[in-house]
Amino acid sequence: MNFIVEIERSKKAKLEADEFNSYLRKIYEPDLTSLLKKCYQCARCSGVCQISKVQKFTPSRIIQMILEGFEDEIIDSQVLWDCLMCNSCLQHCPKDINFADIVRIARYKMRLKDIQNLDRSIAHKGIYPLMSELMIQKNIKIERPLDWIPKDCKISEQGNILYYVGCLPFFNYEFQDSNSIAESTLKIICQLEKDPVVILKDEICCGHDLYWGQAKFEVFIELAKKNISIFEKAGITSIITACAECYRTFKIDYLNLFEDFNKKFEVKHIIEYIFDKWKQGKVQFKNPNESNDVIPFTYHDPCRLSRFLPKDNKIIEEVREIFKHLKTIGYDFKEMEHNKENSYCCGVNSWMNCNEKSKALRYKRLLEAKAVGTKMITSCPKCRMHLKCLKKDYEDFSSIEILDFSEFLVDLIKIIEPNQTVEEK
Amino acid sequence: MEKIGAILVIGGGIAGIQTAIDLADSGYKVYLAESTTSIGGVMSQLDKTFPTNDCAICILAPKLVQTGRHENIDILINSSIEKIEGTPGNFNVDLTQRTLLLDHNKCTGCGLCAQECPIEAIDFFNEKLSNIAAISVKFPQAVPLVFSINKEKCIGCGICKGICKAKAIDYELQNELISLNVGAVVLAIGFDEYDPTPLTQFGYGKHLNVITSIEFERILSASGPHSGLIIRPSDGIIPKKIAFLHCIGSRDRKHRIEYCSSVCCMYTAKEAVIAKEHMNIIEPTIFTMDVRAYGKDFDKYIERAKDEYGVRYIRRRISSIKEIPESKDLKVYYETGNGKIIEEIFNLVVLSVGMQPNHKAKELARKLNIQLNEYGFCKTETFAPVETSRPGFYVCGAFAAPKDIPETVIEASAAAGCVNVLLSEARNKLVSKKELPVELDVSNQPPRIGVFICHCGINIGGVVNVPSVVEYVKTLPDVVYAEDNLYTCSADTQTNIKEKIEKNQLNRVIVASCTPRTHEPLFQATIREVGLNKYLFEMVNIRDQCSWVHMHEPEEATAKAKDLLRMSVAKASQLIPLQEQEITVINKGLIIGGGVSGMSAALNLASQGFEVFLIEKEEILGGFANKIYRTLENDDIQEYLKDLIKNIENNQLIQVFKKAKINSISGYIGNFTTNVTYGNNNKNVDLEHGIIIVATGAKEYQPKEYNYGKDQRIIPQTEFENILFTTDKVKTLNSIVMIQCVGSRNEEHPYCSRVCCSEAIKNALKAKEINPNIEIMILYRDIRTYGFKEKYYNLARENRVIFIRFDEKNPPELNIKNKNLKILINAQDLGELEINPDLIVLSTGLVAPIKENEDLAKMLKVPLNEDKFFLEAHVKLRPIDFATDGIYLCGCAHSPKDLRESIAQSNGAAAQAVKILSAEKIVTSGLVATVIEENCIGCGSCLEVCQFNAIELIKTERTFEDITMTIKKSHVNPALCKGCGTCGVQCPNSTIIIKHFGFEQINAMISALLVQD
Repeated sequence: MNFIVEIERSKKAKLEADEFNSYLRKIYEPDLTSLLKKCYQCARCSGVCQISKVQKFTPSRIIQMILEGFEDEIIDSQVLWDCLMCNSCLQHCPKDINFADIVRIARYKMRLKDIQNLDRSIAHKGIYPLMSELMIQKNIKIERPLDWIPKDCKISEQGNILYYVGCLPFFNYEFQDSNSIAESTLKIICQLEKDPVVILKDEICCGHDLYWGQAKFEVFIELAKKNISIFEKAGITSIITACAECYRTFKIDYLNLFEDFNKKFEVKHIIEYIFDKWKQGKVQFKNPNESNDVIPFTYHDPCRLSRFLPKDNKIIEEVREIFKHLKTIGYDFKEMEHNKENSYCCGVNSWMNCNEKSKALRYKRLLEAKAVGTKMITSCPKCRMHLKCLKKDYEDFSSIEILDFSEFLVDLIKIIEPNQTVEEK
Repeated sequence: MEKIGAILVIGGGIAGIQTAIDLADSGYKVYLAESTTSIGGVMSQLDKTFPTNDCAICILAPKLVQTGRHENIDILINSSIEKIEGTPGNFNVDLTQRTLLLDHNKCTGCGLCAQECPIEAIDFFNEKLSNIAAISVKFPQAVPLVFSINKEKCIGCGICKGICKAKAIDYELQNELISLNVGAVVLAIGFDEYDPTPLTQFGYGKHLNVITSIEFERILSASGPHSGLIIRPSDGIIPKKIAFLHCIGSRDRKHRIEYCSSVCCMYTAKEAVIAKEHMNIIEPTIFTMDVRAYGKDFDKYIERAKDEYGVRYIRRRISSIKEIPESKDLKVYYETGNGKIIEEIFNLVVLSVGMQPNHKAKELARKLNIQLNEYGFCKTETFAPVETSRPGFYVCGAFAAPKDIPETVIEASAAAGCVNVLLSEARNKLVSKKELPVELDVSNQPPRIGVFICHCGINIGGVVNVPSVVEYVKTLPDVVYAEDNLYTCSADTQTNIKEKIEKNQLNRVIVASCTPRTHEPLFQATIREVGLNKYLFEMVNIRDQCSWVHMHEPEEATAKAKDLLRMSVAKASQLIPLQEQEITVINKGLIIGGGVSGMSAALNLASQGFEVFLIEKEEILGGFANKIYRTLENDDIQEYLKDLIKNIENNQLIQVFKKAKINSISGYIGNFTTNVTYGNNNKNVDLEHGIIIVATGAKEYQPKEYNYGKDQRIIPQTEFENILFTTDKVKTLNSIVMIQCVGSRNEEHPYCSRVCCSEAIKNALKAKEINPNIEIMILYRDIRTYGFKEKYYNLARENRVIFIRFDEKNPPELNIKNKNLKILINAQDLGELEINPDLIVLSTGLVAPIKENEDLAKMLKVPLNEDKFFLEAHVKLRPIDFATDGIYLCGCAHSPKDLRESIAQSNGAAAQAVKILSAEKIVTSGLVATVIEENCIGCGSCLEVCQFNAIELIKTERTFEDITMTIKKSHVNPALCKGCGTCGVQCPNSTIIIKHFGFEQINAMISALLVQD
């Protein structure tokens, strides 16, 4: 994989250095001390750090060392590859120090130092980040698998509303049921939209993993530029996604690079999209099963839709409003012990650090889920994939069904025809 | 008289090779006498093999190499047997080894002599289709790789002698008479292809574009006369239309070749398919009589040839061929389905020639006092398929009867199995183990690498500038010594390497020469002799990869040699000593299935002193054989069975479990534990054993067709046989119809059951014997009386058994009107017929017991094929063993077969098993996969892909700050791991490392490659 990195680098060299640097400056601050100087060493971060429960890892100590001038030692030790980037520390930091962002920058620095064994710790042989990297190659024509698209869904290559599918069809080769998320989401959107929904045959990666996980900012910038040009060419004005990571990336990280991104494109997570339609009276919920059994279920907040969004974001509450309403049709929403901003992490970030320690984190999460419900809903494909991976190893958890938000709702949604009115039960 | 622990195997084809390896692996000294200059036989000439289309030489070459370097095998090439005297267990052999006019101990096979030789000779390996130098090697992969001088052609110019750096050539060398003392002799002299010259109507030898199938095989081969390009002899153009003619020199009583050659139907289909694959414009047509695709998965191959490759089958034998003088195209005439005679023009005609007894068979039989059968093949008995008429002499392969490669391999192992029984007391007497010094501990020393670079005469040195490579290597890090050798593999260089290791305190050794496939074990043994762990060795192939492929670019070849060595040095400095583990073997066998196969295997093992557990699910032993009375050849099965059962029950070493059920099987090669419930009282027992033989057999198909079960006049062959041999009922019958292929070769069972044609003919003949006036009609699709069974097909026709052929799409229909049986059949050449028999006999096929096989396969973790028969490790060359070590297969559990074949395979399975049972310990390889536990998340993907069942998931407890949980961890059993690396590729966390192929080594190599000078 190293040669591909090499080729990448030599290509990058040809890129207009000025242009690249102007973008890089927006997402990369080399002076870590300037970002940390507010810290007064209360060490709350270390107390809430999720990875520290299963291995030695103390953010406060790391910050202290950097402030005391040992940044090089921290970089050389490579300890920051271990961070889950779950952002739990930020939730509790009285000084709003964004430790995950520090780690992201430090990872870029580790990369610049050409520390060799990174690729070894990327799970699944690093194939997924590699695929994202390949997508910026000019000589590679991207043709995404479209065989997952349900027959009755009308799609188009041009139009206003885009369903941004993300990695799901690629995951499907290794994690067999990934396509069902895409299928369910598209079914929901198609039922609600008059015009055909846009599915891009040449859709490329949003770049989330390369931004946070492998710190390949050069590739991230290229992906962002290419994405915008693809969207513009297709006439897109509104982007819907079912992926927590794509959502955060478009909503915030792209905005850091291109100030007008959210003026050009309206970005919605499928939760927001359904919530809005529900509030507009265009959908209601109905249980297709005749049975009167009440099904207890719970929701796992992905970090990207909780701790990684601005304080004023509404998704956390919107999804709960929908879920609480479902009680009327026999689904009883229950919270796990750790929820909303305090949710436990699924244990893996951007294909980094999959090992027995992160497995222990998932195990704890499923214990909490098992205590309150028989279905566990999440809205991040990777959380779903990681939790499902753990579930199959333990008989104890066989009673829990792990579903994506769209998979869960696709059968419960009833579309109201324009001439009908909503009947509230 | 004392028994001698050595065996003479005569014939170095695949049969002789397999017997030699099996015996050498079980502790005997083997002399393998071959009449030509290399082992390999006819298989080495073949392009591909059916039904898998494997490249023949690619799968054979590893066996050749294994034979060549086996410490217990001496190959005696260019030799012929003079006489053999003595008694079973102790024979004196005289044989002549004809001179090669060079010293085969000195020749390194570098090939320079052949490049310079001014004289051309005919290349017999290429079926005379090309020329070769008068000093030559039989084929590039020949074993042993030594050259020989064609005495008739050599003009004695002395050029070769002048340029041979090894000084191997000596025109004065004389034939040598060698005397050997052996305990047994195995005859594996193979067959000759039929020479169709006497069949003048086909014009072979007269019409240029009429060739034989073996010639066509060489034309197809990438190493053949036209490098795989299919061109016809007359004008070198690609023949668009090729006709293949079946049964040339087979099924031809007029020319005294009554038997069927058994293999031609299949190899013709293969040649047609491969020709089509090579060049899509070719349109193959096969003229045939009965398509005899009776082996495992053969019918599927024929169907694929027809459907996927568009091979046209025409059911006619061609009477004559006419050449069109201008174009040299060939005109054939044949009768179409509707009776018209038409002519068709072909560009090339291939005669599918049959198998003849080896031309030396008669003379050898006379010398050795061995009886031949009526066709000139070696005479054997049904119940002793690999024994000749002379005690202590065994036979295998095509010398006993025409047969294909898997059956040859089975018989070869069977012969080894029978030799085992004769000589078991002399095992390990003639093989010695070397005493080795204690291994030096170099683990904490910095690397001190020594590099030995081979000129291979001028084979490498003529292209690569070896001295400059030596100078370059000396500049590399960690290299403390480097030198070049004329031949690094020669005996004196081994001594030299040892001295240099000691003098320079080397702790890693690199040899840059030819291929590790043939030479690595030699060098590993050398460094081990001075106390270095054998895994501290690296080999670089600068012959194939430098001097051969870049022979016209010496500078680039030299630069590449330097690159390869730089990488190798980088890897060598990352090598660590690896430990081989020893596993103790439980010297007992478990055999599943108490039919003829299981019992034969049990007796074989017990007669060598090994304890056997024999598991039978029914209340009595004997299995399917209980239902049959005679073989086609009229051998008394019931009497044989009675004896066999008596021998089993009287044998102290065999413990029989009847009404037994296997509940679980655990463990691995050498150490299995099986839980069995048995007997009327359901007793439960844990059995510990070192090997498992699966001999679970097959069962009779229960027909759904033809009103079976609802009318007493409609019965299967076995019931009819029972009537024939125990009652007089046949005397009262007027006419019988037998319907073939009931439950075979259809959608549900798309394979041929192999035995039904013979069964039908046997019973028809018996019925005719009891009641000569009875009318018997056999309704068939193809009569598959392969090999010598053809005789009985002819006999049946002579006895007025009527054979009527039907098409798969138009099977016979049964009508019962007024209690009269009525069969309607659309006969292919006759039209609609109506028959009113008294009795309908259904030739029901053999099917696998699906549920039982699936359960057992799951417990053994071995695969089944689509038809739920057990699937062997390799259909061609490993027909008796599974990919999982220590588990073997015989009888109908493998595929339908007759008694003779089952007995052969069970003796073969016993021979494989004895390799393990006779060893006190099994030594595992050091190059195995290993798991870094910490990062293993127990996902089990490695387990799914491991073909060898070497991986299991073990539950371990882990405690973290606030939680304790069990996590599965993958564990590799080094006894079963072959180091193939598949698991390492699959592991999502890259946490399985193949020793010496890990990140450290491979990264070091890649980094070294990318370094620019």
